[in-house]
Amino acid sequence: MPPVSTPASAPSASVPVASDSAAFNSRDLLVGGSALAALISATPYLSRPIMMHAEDFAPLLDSVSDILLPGSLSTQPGAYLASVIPREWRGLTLSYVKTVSHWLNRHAQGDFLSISFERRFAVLTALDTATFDGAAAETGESDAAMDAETAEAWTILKRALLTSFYTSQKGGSGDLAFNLVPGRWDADIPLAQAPRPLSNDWLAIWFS
Amino acid sequence: MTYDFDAIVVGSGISGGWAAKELTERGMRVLMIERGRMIEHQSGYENEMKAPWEMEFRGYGDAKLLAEEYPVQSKGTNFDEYTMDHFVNDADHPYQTSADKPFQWRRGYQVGGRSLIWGRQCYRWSDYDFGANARDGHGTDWPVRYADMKPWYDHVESFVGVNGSMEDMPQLPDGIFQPAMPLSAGESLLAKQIAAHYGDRRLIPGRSANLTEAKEGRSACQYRYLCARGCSFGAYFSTQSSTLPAANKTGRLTLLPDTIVAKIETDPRTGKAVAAQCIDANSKETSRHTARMFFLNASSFNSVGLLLRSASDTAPNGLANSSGTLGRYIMDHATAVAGVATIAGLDDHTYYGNRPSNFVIPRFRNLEEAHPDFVRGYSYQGVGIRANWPRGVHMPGVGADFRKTLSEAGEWRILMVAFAESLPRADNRVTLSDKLDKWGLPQLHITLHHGENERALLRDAAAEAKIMLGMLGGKMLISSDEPDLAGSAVHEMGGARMGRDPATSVVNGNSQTHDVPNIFVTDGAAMSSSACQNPSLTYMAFTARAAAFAVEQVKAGLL
Repeated sequence: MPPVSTPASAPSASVPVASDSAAFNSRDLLVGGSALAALISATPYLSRPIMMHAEDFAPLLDSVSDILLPGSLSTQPGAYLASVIPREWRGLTLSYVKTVSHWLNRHAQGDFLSISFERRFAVLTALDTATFDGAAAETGESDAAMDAETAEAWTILKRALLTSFYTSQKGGSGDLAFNLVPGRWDADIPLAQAPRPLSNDWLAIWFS
Repeated sequence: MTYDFDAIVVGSGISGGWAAKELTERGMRVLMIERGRMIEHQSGYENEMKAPWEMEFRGYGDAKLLAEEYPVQSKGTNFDEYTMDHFVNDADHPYQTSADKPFQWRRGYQVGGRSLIWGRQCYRWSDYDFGANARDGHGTDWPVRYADMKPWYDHVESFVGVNGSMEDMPQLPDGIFQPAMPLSAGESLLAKQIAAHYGDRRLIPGRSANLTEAKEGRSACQYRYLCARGCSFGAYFSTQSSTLPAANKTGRLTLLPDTIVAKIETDPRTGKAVAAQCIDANSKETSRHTARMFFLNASSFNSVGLLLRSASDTAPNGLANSSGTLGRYIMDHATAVAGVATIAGLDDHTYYGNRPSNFVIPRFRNLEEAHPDFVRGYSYQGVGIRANWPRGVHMPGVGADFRKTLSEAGEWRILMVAFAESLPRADNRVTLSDKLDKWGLPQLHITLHHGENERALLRDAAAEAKIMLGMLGGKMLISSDEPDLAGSAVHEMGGARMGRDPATSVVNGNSQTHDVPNIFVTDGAAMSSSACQNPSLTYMAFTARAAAFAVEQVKAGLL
């Protein structure tokens, strides 16, 4: 995987911007903590004596979540994931987070959280693209394979971030509908006339 | 001799509830003993109405805790953070099994047992099933045929409330149904394709114990699919919603939760069972309760375990085990995800609500023509859904467009799971281990390996699934013919098989043990073959039939 190009200027119009001002302020305030994480992640010698805890990565998780799913910051993904990482929720461990952090910092050529939002978006997009290109490479469809360890780590973290958002009230009853008592089974309805999909379409959740 | 009760029912799950209902309604004073705690209907369903964000782990549970204390229970259907208190803690209830191919013993120790968490699919067995052992020589011949069972299927379906469609398929007899839960658009498309291309098979709505019409104080299904959390609407059949209220209504039921039956005691002079020796699950204090007769409904393997534990000087190898077959010939359907595929060209159709059922493609192999590669058959159960937000894990995407995509209905997917018949084999068995549980009782050792016939069935099922799903014009995502671990189907059966000959079977055609006439085994332990349909409805029918017989025997002075 070649180094990711991270343009200093704002990329194309499709790149999202921070979803709200509160989110922007939170990110600014959290840079300091992430710098320590980045340093340790990038320095094997230092990583041995200093014990990193899940909460140390909360700023990074907040930032990644808000890039992945703009607007998700208000659900406090970093704090939530930090609280459940010790219990390996959705398979997420600190090791996976560190692996992703290391990749992001390396491709940010420094502290991921210290670069601009646009550059962070580009780096994370590159990670995601490389992960799926890597999957394609295994089937012979692409030569752009990335290391399996990082691809696995990002897949696990992405799953945890998606789950964190869509099982929060904002994601589960905002983007999608939530109705514990639908009261009816409409077996075949035109999509155009259908209510929004249910975040509690349990079978679909299990089989997706 | 005077007895504390006319009958003791061991276990309060699907068949135990039926035994209590039928016996009390026929005038018997019944003690129903349940090893687990009481769960009251409605007020006891603690997580029924909770949203993910109201749960500490958003419904997925504490993964470390699950790995440490629920390693078996947590790996199967219907288990999640909302429902985990309806399953046993594996650490508290250990058992022994093969290290290489462990049996997945999924259990629910509480009043209601697994009736709270079952899959609710209800299918009659046909003479293809009751005649199977006689036809190909595997196992011992059932002493009953469909004609014997039909009135009892009618009886239990009328009370349970089973939704389904009349199909006139001899391998899956029609019953007394409430209106079916219709197929989704994706499922209907597959049904049409199958009907157009095959003369030997059909895709039909599943038949489930969920009410589509209100019935006797129970509400119609609200399409929540929260069944395993417990249903305050009473819309699916469970002990709590259905049989327990009926038995309580007679005034002749005594329910004793938190009590483990350690042993059935027999009178050496008469050879009859006289008492249940019990241990309080919490205090470990012992108690003894006498009765005229005993119904074992503790779940297939626990009923077998109880008989094995009840060995005595006159029955050194276990009670009702003069045949030496007690514990042998256990079965569980061999399952595999035969296929998952997407559907092309149906994106403008969707559905609304949570249907708590599925479709079924009934068995089509070895009905009139013998297949060269295997005996018996398999059926499929499946669902057609539109992918939801978790699909985002498996697709590239970051940012606002990605979030917008995940807020919309995803592609159609059809899932087909094959359920292959399990042949009864003597070396698949339950025995008593030399390891003890915390009540000092021997743990069970369970050995159940699928054989070549089950593997051949699943190979054919996967190959046929790929062909059928291929007609949908989508992409094949998964297809497997490798059987899941035994026990995964949660259809464990056998160990006290029914047969005509006391030398080769444990219970007779009336579910009565050959050796001890006042012991009846009417849960899955008594099954002599496994068919490829879900077995619970048949347990219910056997239980109701045996209860009627037992009461006749009492009235005739024979018990």
